[in-house]
Amino acid sequence: MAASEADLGRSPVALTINGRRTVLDAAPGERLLDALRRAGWLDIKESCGEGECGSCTVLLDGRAVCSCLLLAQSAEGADVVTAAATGHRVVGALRRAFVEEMGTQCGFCTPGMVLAAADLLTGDGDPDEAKIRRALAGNLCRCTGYHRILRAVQRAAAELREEVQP
Amino acid sequence: MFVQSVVRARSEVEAAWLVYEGKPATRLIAGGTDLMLQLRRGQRQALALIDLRRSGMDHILENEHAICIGATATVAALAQHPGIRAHFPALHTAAATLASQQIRNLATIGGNICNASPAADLVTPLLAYDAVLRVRRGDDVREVPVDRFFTGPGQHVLTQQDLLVEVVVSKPLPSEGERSRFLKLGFRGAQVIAVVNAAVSLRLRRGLVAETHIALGAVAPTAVRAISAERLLRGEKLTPEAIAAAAEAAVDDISPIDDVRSTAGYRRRVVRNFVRLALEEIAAQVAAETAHGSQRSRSRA
Repeated sequence: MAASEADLGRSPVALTINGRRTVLDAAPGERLLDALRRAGWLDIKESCGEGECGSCTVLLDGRAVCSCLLLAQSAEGADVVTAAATGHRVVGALRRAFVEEMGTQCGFCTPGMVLAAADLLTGDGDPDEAKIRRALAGNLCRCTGYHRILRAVQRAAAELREEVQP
Repeated sequence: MFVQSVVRARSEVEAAWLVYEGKPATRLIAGGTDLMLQLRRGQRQALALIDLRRSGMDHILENEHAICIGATATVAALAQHPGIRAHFPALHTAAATLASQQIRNLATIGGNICNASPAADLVTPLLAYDAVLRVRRGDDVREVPVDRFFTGPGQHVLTQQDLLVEVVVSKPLPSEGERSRFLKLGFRGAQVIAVVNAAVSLRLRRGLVAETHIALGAVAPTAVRAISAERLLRGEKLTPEAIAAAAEAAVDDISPIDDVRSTAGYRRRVVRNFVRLALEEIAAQVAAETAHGSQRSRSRA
């Protein structure tokens, strides 16, 4: 049998995933996407695998990145957040808003959309429509036509602003 | 060929020595947004990777004279930096519109330069601003002007022992009245490699063009300066005639090809229009500022 990348010795990568300290086993050239999915984080999706579609987005130390372009070994010590995160205020509000606005159809792009929007709303609590569209320009959805996704992000932003102002 | 080891550099010094002593088939990885795909597609090979993500070279330091950008500063950090926005608007625009937020959060200025794509968005502004690249070999540091860095598509002057550590862009004096623009054409407003990109910087003295750099990307084996267009403009007023002549001349400064993104003929048309548009925008900005300035002095009087 031909040698494959996975046959090479894996080494431990210690990081935090959704608030829990975890150790992933990753081969030297392996993508964070593959190491995470193997560890059971199946809410992270792969579509294009080339950084074009945003399905595999995770928050890495608070910023949205494509996990298909990141070396798993590079994530040593990092704080990774996925769309399944519990206790993450912004991600939670977005998840609820996507349900309430029906901002999802087949659902495959949704985790990436939620996390790209989380990156935006963390830095800007009241973005206009153009800013939201720009922030989501790296995420492709082939079902919704984006309109309801846009509304979901606006709704989450409004909810988060209300929470802040008592 | 599979990657068999990854070494994480913890400082610039450690990175420089790891590179200096690196075995053949060792490559540097920072953001990984180009290299990870090239490795998967077999377009580039590596047995060992030196990971620069945590090497502490991601500073953006501003002083009176210049902004010094560490090689692993991300494109997102460039786009957010107020000093870059104020003094180098073409670099700001190029960074803010490069790819997508997910890519900007990973991709680094050093990677955009060293990948040496003729279409690299940050390179045309760096050419327009005469940036200097600081290159380290072991403990020795040398400076390479960006216009002498690239030798062909994917190729540059660095050897296996060299590490790009910093990009230095010198600020124009306020009295030099520099204006600049970045323009990019792609199939959509985001997530695209440029069909053509252009960065133009221009300094006026007493209404005449004192200096101008016109940099064009994706229209030659490396990003290029439109030298003959620049020469036509120096010493001239920024009139519609001078602008039209410069735009026409720029077409002779490029050597575009047909490829997956466009044709040589279309790229020539875009270059002509981009040079004209950038210069017209700068002329309009100057006119607006002059009108605003005289209004202000009238109201003060």
